[in-house]
Amino acid sequence: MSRADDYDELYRASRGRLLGYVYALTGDVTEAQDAVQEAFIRAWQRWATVGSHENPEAWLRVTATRIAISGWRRARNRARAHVRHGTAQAVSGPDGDTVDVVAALRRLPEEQRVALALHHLLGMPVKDIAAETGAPVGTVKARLSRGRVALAGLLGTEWEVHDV
Amino acid sequence: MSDHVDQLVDRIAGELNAVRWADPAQLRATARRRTLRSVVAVPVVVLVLVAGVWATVGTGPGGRVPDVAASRSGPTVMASPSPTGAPSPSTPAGTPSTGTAPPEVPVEALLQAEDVGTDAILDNQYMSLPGEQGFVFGHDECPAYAGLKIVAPLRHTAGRGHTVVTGDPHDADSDRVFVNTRRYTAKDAAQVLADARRFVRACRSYRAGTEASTERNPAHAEISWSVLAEGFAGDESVLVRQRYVSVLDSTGESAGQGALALYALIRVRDVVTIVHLQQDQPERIKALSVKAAVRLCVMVPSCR
Repeated sequence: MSRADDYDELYRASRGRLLGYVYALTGDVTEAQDAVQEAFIRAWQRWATVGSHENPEAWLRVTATRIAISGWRRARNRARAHVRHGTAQAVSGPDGDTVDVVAALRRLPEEQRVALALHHLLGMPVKDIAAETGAPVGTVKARLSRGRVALAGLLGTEWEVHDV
Repeated sequence: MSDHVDQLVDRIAGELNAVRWADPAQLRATARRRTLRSVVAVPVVVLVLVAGVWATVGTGPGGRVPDVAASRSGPTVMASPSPTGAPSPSTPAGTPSTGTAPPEVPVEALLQAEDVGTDAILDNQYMSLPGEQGFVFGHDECPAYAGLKIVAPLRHTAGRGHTVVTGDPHDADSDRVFVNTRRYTAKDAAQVLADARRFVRACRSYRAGTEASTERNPAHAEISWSVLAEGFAGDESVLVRQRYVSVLDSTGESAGQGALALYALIRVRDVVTIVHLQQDQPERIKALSVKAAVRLCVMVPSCR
């Protein structure tokens, strides 16, 4: 299999997961898709390194997240700066319940949102989230727990709280 | 509740299936164009500088300033070849738009599986770009943290991390050694360890929230930090222990959660490695730190 084939296969296999994760963080599907594609462009520029990783998707996830969050912050700041001229553009993409969920996610503190997305969207174990985010396991568990409770409150759902 | 959240995230994933994606060949073409642009730009800059020197030297003191028309026809035009017209995903501001690769941390610079054990493997490998990672201990909930104004650890120029797992990587109870290596400027690298010591002094003991707290049994976490050892590896090193216990507000008894963790920070020149164990094994982490320091020599020539 050629280098390009490896790249294309990774792109097709992981772009959906990455999009779901970044979308959950930013709440803007267009921005999330741009970020994922931008991360793949940067990956090809250094494919000799990224492609040899045991887990290149992790590199893409970190890169796409950084791109998306910086883009989202820029958009937010722009919206604040031009508040007299109207509000930021509405979220495009999925409608209805999904938008409600993602809008609720966006109201959570960033660390809770990241923990929920890593754990529930990508299935990462708590210990690995702890290592990747630089937080102790107890803190990650607390973020997940509080994030779920807050999410339930924002969505008006009454759920019983269990352990992680 | 996990089931409900999982249903919600499944819904997100399902609805995003309709998104139309660029062909991977387009992304590769965009990457190639950017790389070409950055390669072309470097000699052009040199050419412009040489031309500037020639103009200055050639005309001598008081020489005529080149006219605008001459400048326009100069080589700077080549520095920004126009795109070929192929679609290119947008690049958010605040992120590099050129293809210049940032300095990277090679995987060989990190503690390896064989440094930990014969049956250990590398898991969860990742690279991080500047600005992507926070404070080395991640404990910004310490009340004194904000006042410390810690910034150097956040300014790494390149970073890489992985987990060395012994046993099943899907088993949360398998032994794990977390490794994160970051390159800084020389000044910032030394400041990272200084900041770690400042953090421990300022956050020696404090209370925080805990997920063990319920309405019926309110609880809090008691977190403490201490420096266990210094100068055991590399140019400079510090070993820090974190103790975390959850305590019932009413009786002061354990609320069921508690942990000890160790962080070893090892600096060799401008590179810092953090070795992290979620077990209280100070002698083991010091031995691993010595090996981690040797690994850093890949990035720091003639460091041994």
